[in-house]
Amino acid sequence: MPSVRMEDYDVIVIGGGHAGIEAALASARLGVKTGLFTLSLDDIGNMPCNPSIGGTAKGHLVREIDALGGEMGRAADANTIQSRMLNKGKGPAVYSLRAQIDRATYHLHMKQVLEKQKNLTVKQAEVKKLLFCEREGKKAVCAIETHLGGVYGCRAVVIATGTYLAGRIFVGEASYAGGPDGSLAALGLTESLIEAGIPIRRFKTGTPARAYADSIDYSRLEKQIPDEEPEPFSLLFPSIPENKMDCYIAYTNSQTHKVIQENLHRSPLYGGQIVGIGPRYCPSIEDKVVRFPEKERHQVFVEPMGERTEEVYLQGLSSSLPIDVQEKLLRTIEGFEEIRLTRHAYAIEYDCCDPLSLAPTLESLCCEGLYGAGQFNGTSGYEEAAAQGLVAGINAAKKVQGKEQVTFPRSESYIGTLIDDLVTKGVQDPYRMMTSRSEYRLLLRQDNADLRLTEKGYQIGLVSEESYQAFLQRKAAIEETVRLLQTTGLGPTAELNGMLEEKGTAPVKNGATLADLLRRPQIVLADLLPFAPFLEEKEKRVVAEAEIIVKYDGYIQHQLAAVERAKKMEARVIPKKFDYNKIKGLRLEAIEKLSKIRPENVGRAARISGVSPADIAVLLLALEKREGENE
Amino acid sequence: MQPFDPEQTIAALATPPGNGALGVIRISGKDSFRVGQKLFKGKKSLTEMTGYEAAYGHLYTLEGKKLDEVVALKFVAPKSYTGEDSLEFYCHGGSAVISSVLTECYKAGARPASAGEFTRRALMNGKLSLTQAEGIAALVSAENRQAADLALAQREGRLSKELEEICDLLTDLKAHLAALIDFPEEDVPMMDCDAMAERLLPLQNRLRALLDTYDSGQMIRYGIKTALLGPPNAGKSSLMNRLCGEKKSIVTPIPGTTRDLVEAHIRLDDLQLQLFDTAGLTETDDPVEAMGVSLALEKLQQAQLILLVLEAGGELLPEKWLSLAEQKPTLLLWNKTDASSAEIPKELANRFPLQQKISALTGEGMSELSLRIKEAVKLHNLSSAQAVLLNDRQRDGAYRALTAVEETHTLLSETGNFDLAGVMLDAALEELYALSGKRADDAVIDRVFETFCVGK
Repeated sequence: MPSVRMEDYDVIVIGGGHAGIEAALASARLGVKTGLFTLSLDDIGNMPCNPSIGGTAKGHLVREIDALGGEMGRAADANTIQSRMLNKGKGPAVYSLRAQIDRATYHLHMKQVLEKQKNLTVKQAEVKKLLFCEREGKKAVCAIETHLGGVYGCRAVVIATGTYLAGRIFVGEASYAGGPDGSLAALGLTESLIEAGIPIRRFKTGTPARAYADSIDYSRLEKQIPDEEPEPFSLLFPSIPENKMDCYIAYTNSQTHKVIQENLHRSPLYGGQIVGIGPRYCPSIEDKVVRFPEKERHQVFVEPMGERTEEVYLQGLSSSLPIDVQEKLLRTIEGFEEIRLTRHAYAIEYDCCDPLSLAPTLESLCCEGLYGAGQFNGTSGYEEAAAQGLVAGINAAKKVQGKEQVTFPRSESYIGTLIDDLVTKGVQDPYRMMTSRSEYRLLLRQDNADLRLTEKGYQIGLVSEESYQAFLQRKAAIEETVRLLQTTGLGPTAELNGMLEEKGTAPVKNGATLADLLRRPQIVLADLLPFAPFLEEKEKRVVAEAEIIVKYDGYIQHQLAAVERAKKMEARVIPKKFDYNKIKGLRLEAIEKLSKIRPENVGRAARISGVSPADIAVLLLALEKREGENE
Repeated sequence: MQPFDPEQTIAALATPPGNGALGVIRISGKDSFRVGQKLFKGKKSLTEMTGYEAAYGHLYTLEGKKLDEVVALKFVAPKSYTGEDSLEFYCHGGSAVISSVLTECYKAGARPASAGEFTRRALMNGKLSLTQAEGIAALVSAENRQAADLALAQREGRLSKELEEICDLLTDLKAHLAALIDFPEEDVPMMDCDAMAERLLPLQNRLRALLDTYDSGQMIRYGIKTALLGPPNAGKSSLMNRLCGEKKSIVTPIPGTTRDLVEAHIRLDDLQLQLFDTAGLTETDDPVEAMGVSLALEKLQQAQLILLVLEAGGELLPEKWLSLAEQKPTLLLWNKTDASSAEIPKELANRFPLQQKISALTGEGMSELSLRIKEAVKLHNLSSAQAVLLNDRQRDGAYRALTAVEETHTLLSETGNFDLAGVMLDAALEELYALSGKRADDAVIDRVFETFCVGK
């Protein structure tokens, strides 16, 4: 087939999933001509797995995306059918928002946002090939070619191929080339990526069956209670979501497990047909039963997929067992005796890159202008994908504009932690964000995402002047409230001491400030409201934020000190073309890892697994010596 | 200061300076064999030899003058103490010879090694862990056998092992917390706050026990700060002289003749004592004597051990001194048993259960003294198999880890703020990993997935 020369773009995004959407929007909003190519316009923003957004640490990511001017939070708020703040009662740093989403309307919402976006063209086409040229002596990407032979020039490409890249579906003994949710696989592109020098791996993930809502006996299931006052994800464009539909919990039992055990030999995972590495955090039901035989039951969440459908999602039952076994095992579950399935569970294998071959900007170390985002980078989850899409889109646009690349330190965001983990430590299985991955999690709360990042979003150019001004006002109000809490004193009145004693804490002799009292573990701000009526007039979120800042002050200072210590190591810059082979005393493993990952500074070098504290000591001495010689 | 440069080849005397039967010169670095070859002539050339091979020969100056008859031992990287190419010359031990050999080594291209540089290189080449390296530093400076044993235990990684075990248990707990926070909707069998807090208690005890060993280690390495306490003329000075084997204090039968604090470092079997004789503790108007008394009080406060010397059948000590002694590890020495057969009063025996009858004059009872002292300062249970904190860095790290664990305990048992408790556990683990020179990496997350069935 002869190729035909078509129009040029500055940035081309391959893929219209959660990563591709944020990448395309960020790039277009920064003012560069952007093209988004997707296999099917009807799969834009699809949720082929859970019909939900957020969750632990993932909710944090969504708030951060929003604070930087991304789209996911707003779209989720507009299409929420049930909302819950998880981890209430475990401490505000780990509160996490999660919302059930109407899958169909979310897709339509995102499709329209893309269509309306200035500087952005969305095209339905499969990208078969990348075309390379040389830029400043380095291999660079300069065009793409589609399945229809169309060649589109570009200066940067964002790969956001999700599970589509060389996708292969497994259901029992059946297996075929395909993408998620009955879509096509993207075949051919992998060869171009290998040509670019990108190390390719094979990962696997899976999804459970969907069923008719009316085939489940809900009276025998537990109902999940949603929050009475749902909170939105978006702090820049807050609109209160509504609870419209219910979720339920069912349980597997020994009968279910027996069916699985007896049919393991028919599972492609245990039969050896699947070679891709699956996510540890999202094991299939057969994995759970095999690895934890002592567990008598496993939870199954029944989640509605939207208001305009009768389909429900069966969370917890991801599987690649044959369809007859799937139905047999489901019918052993109480309440599922009469279940009828709409779609069977499947496992999907796909190509992705080794993220150690990426820079913290998400640009490939092997090829100029080539960026990666989402599952292609070895992650899993819509939120992780969107976060990377945003960063890759920003940097692709900045690259084209000749502006400085933007990176995100670990100490300022989960987005930064996610990317640093990927490009510095690498991944062994699909990576999921967790609060325990951040050493700075008291600072990186979901409640203060805007305080941490909106200034940066404004500097980048994705937060509008109007949103920024509104943010500044809210920030000032929070600071004012903190000041008032620190300076307002309460006398030792009978009312105050009565309340204190009732809460099980010592009465005050000479009075105390509101902040002093609030720092006591037994006291929350609500207890102090009768004594500080001025708080009633303030916006609820402002007061809640001030409360956390005051209450956690000592611990926050502790973490800030740790950030300062880490910054000292980050300030030790390693020259770009530093030759690790010439350093005497570095172990071979360290030389290999450092030469491959090429950390910009000693702080990042120290986080590389396989580089020991002794290697870092040697590296520091070598850098000192080099500086001495250069003087 | 000589900048540390792993590119350079270093040389130094590896055995103690002074005249000994043998003096070992160690050369380490990439030019070791070239340096050695310039000085050594034997049946075989150093460059032809393989690792761990020894050769007999002679050392010459660069000008060709014969220096010594030696054995050369060759080590090929990484199989050497430092992990680098290394050479050892076993010379005759005279200081003059050693000094000339070293001078020639320096002329031939090596530079003098700075203190601890061989060990530092071993550390950097991954031959040793940080605590092992510190163990070696202690081993080299150990002044007596037990100190050497302790340092050796360290060398073998006892401390690393203890720290690893504590870290492992903390990691378990962190995994529980992480699972609780990151997988709130999974019905994994979870411990409640109190159960988790409970699990921290034994770890606090282990860290406290480890911190206690710092004092033991210090006592063994630098000597036990020991104060002699007793009424005038009870025989403190005679005891001191017997222990020292020389007349350190002026011993006269007139009460109060010891006016100054006399200090002596003595060796008692395998123990070292930093001994202070206190002034005769009489209430006095004499300002010189009064000064002596207040100095004695200060010394008593600093002492790690009090030897309470009382004369059989003689004068006791005023109550305030006795109660002071009660607060410290004290060994009651019932002196002058050669002259009196008076038994120890029951009340006194109850207050000071550790006691020994002696005669400073005849030496009776003295052979049991070191054993009693060990009991008093709790060194008798300290085996060479035990992990010991050897230096301030280790003590401070263990102390900060303990503080963090205690804080975690308070947070779990009083507030239920998992976010704060998790961060304090992180802090404790970080301190312990810093102490052992390792890194935490993603140990916690790995543990979560190993231990719990979590995931959608």
